Amino acid sequence: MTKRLLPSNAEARAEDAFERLGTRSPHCSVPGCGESDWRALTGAYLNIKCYEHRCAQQGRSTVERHHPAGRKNNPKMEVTMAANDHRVMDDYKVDWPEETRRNPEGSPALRAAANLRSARDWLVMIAERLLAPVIAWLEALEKCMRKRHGPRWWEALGLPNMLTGRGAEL
Amino acid sequence: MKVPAPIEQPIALRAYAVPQTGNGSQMTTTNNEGSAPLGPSDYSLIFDTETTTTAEQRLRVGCYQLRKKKELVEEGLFFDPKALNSKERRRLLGYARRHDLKLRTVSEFIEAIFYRQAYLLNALIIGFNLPFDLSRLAIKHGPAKGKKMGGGFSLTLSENWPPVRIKHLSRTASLIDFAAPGGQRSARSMRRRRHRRPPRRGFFSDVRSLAAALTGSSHSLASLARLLGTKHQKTEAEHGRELTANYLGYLRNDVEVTFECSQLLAARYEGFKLAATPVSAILSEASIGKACLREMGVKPWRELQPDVPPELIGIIMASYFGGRSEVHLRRVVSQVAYCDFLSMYPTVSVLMGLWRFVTATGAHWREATAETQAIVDNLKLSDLARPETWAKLAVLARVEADADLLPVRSAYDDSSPAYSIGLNYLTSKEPLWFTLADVFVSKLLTGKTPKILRALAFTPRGQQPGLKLIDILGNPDYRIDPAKDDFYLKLIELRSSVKQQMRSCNNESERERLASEQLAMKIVANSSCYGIFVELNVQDYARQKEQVYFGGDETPRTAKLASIEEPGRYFHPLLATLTTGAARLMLGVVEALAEQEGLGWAFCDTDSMALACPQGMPEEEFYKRTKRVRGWFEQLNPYTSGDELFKLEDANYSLDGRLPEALYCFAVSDKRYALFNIGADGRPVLRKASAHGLGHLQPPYPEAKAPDRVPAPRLALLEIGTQRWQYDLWYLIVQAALAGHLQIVELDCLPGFDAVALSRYAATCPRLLHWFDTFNKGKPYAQQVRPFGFLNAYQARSAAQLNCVELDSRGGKHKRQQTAQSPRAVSPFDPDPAVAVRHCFDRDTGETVTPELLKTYLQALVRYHLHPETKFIGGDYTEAGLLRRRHIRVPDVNGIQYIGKEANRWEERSLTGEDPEAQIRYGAAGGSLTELQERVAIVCRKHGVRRVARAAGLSHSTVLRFLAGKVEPGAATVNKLRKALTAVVIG
Repeated sequence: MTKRLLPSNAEARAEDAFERLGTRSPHCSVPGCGESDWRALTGAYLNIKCYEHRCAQQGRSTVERHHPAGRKNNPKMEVTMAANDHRVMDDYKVDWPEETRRNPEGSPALRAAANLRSARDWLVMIAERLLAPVIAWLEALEKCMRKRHGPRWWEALGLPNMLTGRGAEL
Repeated sequence: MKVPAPIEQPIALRAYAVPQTGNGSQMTTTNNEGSAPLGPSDYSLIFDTETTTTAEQRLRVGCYQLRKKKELVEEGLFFDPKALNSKERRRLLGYARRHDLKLRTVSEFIEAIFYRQAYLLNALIIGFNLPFDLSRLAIKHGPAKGKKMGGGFSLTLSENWPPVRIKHLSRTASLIDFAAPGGQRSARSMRRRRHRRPPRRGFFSDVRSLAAALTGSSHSLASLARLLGTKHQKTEAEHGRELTANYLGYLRNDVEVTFECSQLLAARYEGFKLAATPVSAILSEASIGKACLREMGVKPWRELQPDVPPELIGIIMASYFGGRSEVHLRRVVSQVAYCDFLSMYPTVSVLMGLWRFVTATGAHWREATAETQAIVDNLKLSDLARPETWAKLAVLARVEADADLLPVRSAYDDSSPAYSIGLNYLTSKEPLWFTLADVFVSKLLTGKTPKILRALAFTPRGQQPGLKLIDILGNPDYRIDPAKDDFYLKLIELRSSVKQQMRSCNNESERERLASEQLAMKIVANSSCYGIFVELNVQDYARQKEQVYFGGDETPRTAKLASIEEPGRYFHPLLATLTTGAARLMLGVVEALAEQEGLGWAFCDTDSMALACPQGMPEEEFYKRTKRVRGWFEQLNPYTSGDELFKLEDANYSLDGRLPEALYCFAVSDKRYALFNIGADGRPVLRKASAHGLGHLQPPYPEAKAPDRVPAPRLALLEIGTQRWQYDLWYLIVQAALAGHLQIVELDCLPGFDAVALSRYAATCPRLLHWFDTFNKGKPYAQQVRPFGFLNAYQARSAAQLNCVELDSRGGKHKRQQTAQSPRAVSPFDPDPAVAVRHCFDRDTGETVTPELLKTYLQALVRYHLHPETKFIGGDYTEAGLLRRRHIRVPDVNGIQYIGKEANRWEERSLTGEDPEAQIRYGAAGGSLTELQERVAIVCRKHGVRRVARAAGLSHSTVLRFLAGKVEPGAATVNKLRKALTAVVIG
């Protein structure tokens, strides 16, 4: 029988957040926002807001400074990022080994490891928060176009096939 | 009809205890408004344990599966290192390696899987008889606290994590959750906004409970797997032997079968399309009823009309009686036509239009004394043939009973504190509340109009807003609009049409689908029309609490009790009392019609009655007359499906169901009867028999060892309604009756009847577990009898040979004089009854009880066929024939005892010496128990305990225990004490 790896702590944190938010499918209640990452959501059922909208409501900035490798590892390395993304990046850091995150002795090896972990987290965040929605959107688009214009919908619309480059001239 | 001379007898009425208020916190929980409850995550943990077969039933080995949706994440075994020898451990390790299973110790399993995975991920924890398995994992236990779980157990599985709390509700259902962990779970910002995160309670699904709720009957894992047709079927193994690969395979298979059953049951529940209630919240059929109302957006009455005065609810509760169950022709073989009403409770709800009350924003009530008296004065049987009469039954009447035929709840049997309800002549100077339906019954059967002092008529208020359409079983063809349709009417008609389709369907799988649909409809109809409206959950507390309660006289009283009744979500006792009242009226009408037709009746039970053929009446004439009785009810039939309202049961037809066949009845007392045909050889062919009064006993022999003298049943035992040994017993009883020797039934031929009669219970509440305090004393926890472990109870023959030691009021020990009290014999679990009985002890004193002092099956059941029907005259052990109704006179205001929910199966439980505490007793109408206690204390101080005890005919220690508040006396004891006080003071 196929076996999955045991659930990670992130899943347990997600459960905790769902309980806090009061629903398993939370999303920001501000129209047009669409933020649905539990890491970036605050409040409770019927009044869930993303962190950025909560900040805006309270008159605080919606961009924040992020230490990718952590304050202990590289206090000078700072980037400015959207507050929601900052919450997500910080949550990734919870899964880092305690030693790497704290680096009490200032070990260069752990500092390098932290830098590499933060780089990996960036990629994961890009994949999860930027690419994943686009992928889902493209696949939904394919279904919709297929339904409307048939399986070779691009030909019907006179568009080139982007993979082969062949097709009708624009 | 001649009314017999009255006898003074105390009666009991139900009371309404005002619910305890909360702590007044204004905090709201996160997910209590508008959102569906947060169900379990995609993860599930299925596990099972195997234990030693010794008294402590200690965990040896367990198996678990952690799954995400249906996909297996991890499968493994866990074990208690101290319960296995090194050879067994090696074997276990080898097995785990060969089958690629994770092997953990029990503490590792609890830490890494049970809490770090299942608890943190909100997984659904699945098992079959989950309380037993969970308690095997515990390292200690204590009483559970809190309003919801009070009276249950709190099991500590690990010192680092919250305990698991379990509260036993019924034979098949338990409430299970995690205790709230310490510390603050809500951020300050949340608390500032007055939000509070509810504590994590976890999700538990006991497959046994779910199966009982969805199939309407109790199952073992094997029978459930067979019923559901799971891919894996339960296998058999010998327990208590050395661990082998086969045994471990058996254990793994059990987990797989449990998982498959849970999946199939969950799919079946999904078919109900009750999305607002997760499957983990389904504990019984009532849960389905409540889920159904929730799905339609029906709001609870108490939420919509919180200002109903408690005095009125007290009146409603005082008028509440359960279904009518009586025997009329006792221990006489008579030919009968056994008939029952089509969906009795939903039908009377339809006739009375109770759905409008369910969907209303509340109820109006008004004084209607004069008009009610006029209706009763002019009532004729023919009036009840008009549905309009039934629509006007939402009336409660306060009656000054003067030899009127009314339902009377009383402890008819002096030797038992159990209450039963009988339709008897009642005389009471103290006015009492009854439903108008009950008053009608009295008028119909006596011809005399009861004197009505006051009547309250109820009508529904405006309709609730926000009612939602519901597609029954998710099928748009079965759509019901709760705002326009009568839900019960539509549901019964839908069920009838599905049944008709099922009968004409040739496709096997389609027929199965239709059968499952009609069963689901039956469950929904029955569960949503009665029980949930009188749901009262008993909560037990460690200390007694002051409670305010109301009876029928609108007077608030107080009582100090350790058990508190909390109304359920859809508590609406008016609907419950009207429903059962109308059902009793239906039976009353049958009785009146039978009398009109010159027929008798043998017994009735809630929704059925066996009409009896009078001696000398030709069979053809009998059937013609019963047909006229049945036909009378067609005038009331609210259904268009063509099904008869009062119909002949299948037992009236030949075994192939084609032709009518003469059916005979032998009834002993209420709920103890057998229906049978007489074969060509003159031998009985049992069609239906009752297991009442037998269900608590373990089978004395397996089916394979059934005696040759008793022919095998011609029907499936499930259809007859008994186990094989119970069938054999009934066969011999009926055979003896047919042979004309009613008193003597030769039970000696039944194997195992010379063995000590044994009842097996689980220690489901702290009170039962206390029986083993002496046994457990000084033993390490792992060797103790623990919560939900099995235990054996026995019936003692006599206490004459026993010297009991008991604690006196000063805490010291003294030898008690020989009293009439029998030893209350129990023993720890052992699979072999012969071994178990050797460890039998008195649970009060801890002293050994020898098998000679215990009843054998033969001794316990020798008088089963003579069981008295104490509700009526002529029902004593040796008496047979037509029973006559008693005439009860309520002595004075103290002759009315207010009680809570009636204890179930009291009679069986009392046989094994269980305490009468199961019955909540608020107190007498003339004064509470506390007041009686004070009066007894005053008299005892002046005249001495011994004198009071002697006058009351009670033991010295009983009086002392009563004064110390250690026992709640039964109705008979209270009566004795009251009489004794008068006698001592005067004399």
